[in-house]
Amino acid sequence: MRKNFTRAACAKALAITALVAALLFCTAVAPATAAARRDPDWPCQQIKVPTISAAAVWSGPTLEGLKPWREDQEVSDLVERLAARRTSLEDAQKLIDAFSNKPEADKRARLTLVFAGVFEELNKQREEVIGGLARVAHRQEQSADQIRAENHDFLELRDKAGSDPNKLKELSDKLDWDTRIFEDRNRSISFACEVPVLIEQRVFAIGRMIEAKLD
Amino acid sequence: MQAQLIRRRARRRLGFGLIALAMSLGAGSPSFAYTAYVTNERDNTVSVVDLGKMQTVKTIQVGQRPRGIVISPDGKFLYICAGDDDIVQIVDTTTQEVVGDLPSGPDPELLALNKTGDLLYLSNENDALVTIIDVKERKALAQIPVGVEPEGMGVSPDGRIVVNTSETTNMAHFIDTEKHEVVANVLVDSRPRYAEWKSDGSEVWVSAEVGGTVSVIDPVKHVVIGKITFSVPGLRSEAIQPVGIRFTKDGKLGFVALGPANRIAVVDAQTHQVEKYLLVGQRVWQLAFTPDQKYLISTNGVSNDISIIDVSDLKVVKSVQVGSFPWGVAVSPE
Repeated sequence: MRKNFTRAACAKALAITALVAALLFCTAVAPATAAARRDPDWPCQQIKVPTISAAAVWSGPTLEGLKPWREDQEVSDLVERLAARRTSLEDAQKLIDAFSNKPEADKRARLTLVFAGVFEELNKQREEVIGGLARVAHRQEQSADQIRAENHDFLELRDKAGSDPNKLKELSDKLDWDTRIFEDRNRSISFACEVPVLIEQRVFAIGRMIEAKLD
Repeated sequence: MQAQLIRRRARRRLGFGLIALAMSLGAGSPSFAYTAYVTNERDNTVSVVDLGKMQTVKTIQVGQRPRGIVISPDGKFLYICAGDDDIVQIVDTTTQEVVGDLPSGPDPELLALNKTGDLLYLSNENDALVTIIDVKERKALAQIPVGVEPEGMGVSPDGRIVVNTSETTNMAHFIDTEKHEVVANVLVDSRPRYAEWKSDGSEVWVSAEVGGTVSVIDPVKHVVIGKITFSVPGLRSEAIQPVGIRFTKDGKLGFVALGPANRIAVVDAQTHQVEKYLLVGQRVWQLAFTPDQKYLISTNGVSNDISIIDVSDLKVVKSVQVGSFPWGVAVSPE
């Protein structure tokens, strides 16, 4: 009975060891680029772009030297709604249409101010996500170290003559649980890695909508 | 009597109006029939875009990691590099289904057809080879060793020379299409991606993604006779990564896709000076004209769309959503 349990547990431990190695490879090494390998704060396959530059997403009037967009209440309200990712791009288009359809003398300047606000807000959101990914990357490394240590303890106990089967089971269960959490978190990381790109897509899409209204 | 005269005048006016309307519709109509086919690298699909409606009308499932795409001169077939499946797939444009494949060699990425559409040249990135395929016989005629990580392929207007670029060797290899051998190598800047001939055969332009330049090569003397550089205020130079190139038929304008700079550079093809930058979509990769050259289409990998640019106005007239990571584009001949 004990022999059977030990054999099963051993197979499991080996599988877990292989899994942890593979997962670590996937999260830390396989991101494939040399840059990713050098950067312990970046667990993603995507190339890390710390901040979006305005020139990459905007070819309208300069955003330098504008008055603070928050001082214009209507602009500020619109920025808040456009920057919120729950606002669909279809709705964003409608909001921009409504704003630009109002007759006013300095429409071009105010539309530029709207983009300046959206750009600032979404860049801020993106930096927060990148910061969060760095924290998760570090936590995963700690978890991997912990799983390796637990695996080592388990194998040591298993190979020891007369080891307590209950203790062995306890270690095996803990290893199982921690590995599951590690795996779940890895899956979340791969989803979270898409978020900076999604935000960049949003900045670009909104910029394009606003630029179309400048003429 | 007077009432009759008024009616006749009114009819004549209406007649002129109808003629004017028909003429205005007729002037725009050539592009209305065209269809663009866009490979989506991440989706394993090809988006079919009706350029009249300017919208995606169908999605065709193809092999894994589709990138390079060309269309036969008669518009009946698409040839698509499905890199991760190590094949070139043939899609019938009438049924819009995959109807066969060609023996491409491993990891095909980019391909070019000769003018008559019977020979296909493609680069095998992992094997440092260019494969020549007889399209009708569906068999490989020759494999020519070139530099490391071959990529761009450009057939000369007379079909005698194919230029292949190798990403790691940083060279443009001039291949004689009859002798099946490299006749000249020209050193260009880092990671050359694409080669495009002017329609009169007088110049070949080769884009260098990492070098950030386009080398202008004299295809007779095999020397670089000019280098086009790009600069966008506020953008880091490493964000400017030239990839796809196209020329207008009159040889006056060149268009260069600048990757993550999200722009297309409009270049005076005679002076080699950049005239304008057009902000199009994110990670602009490849370009294709409609046959009447009224529109230029760009694939934008990160914004998952294509931009349709009015060539005479040099303005983006529409962005059309396609699949995930659009890469290559081909437009039907009619």
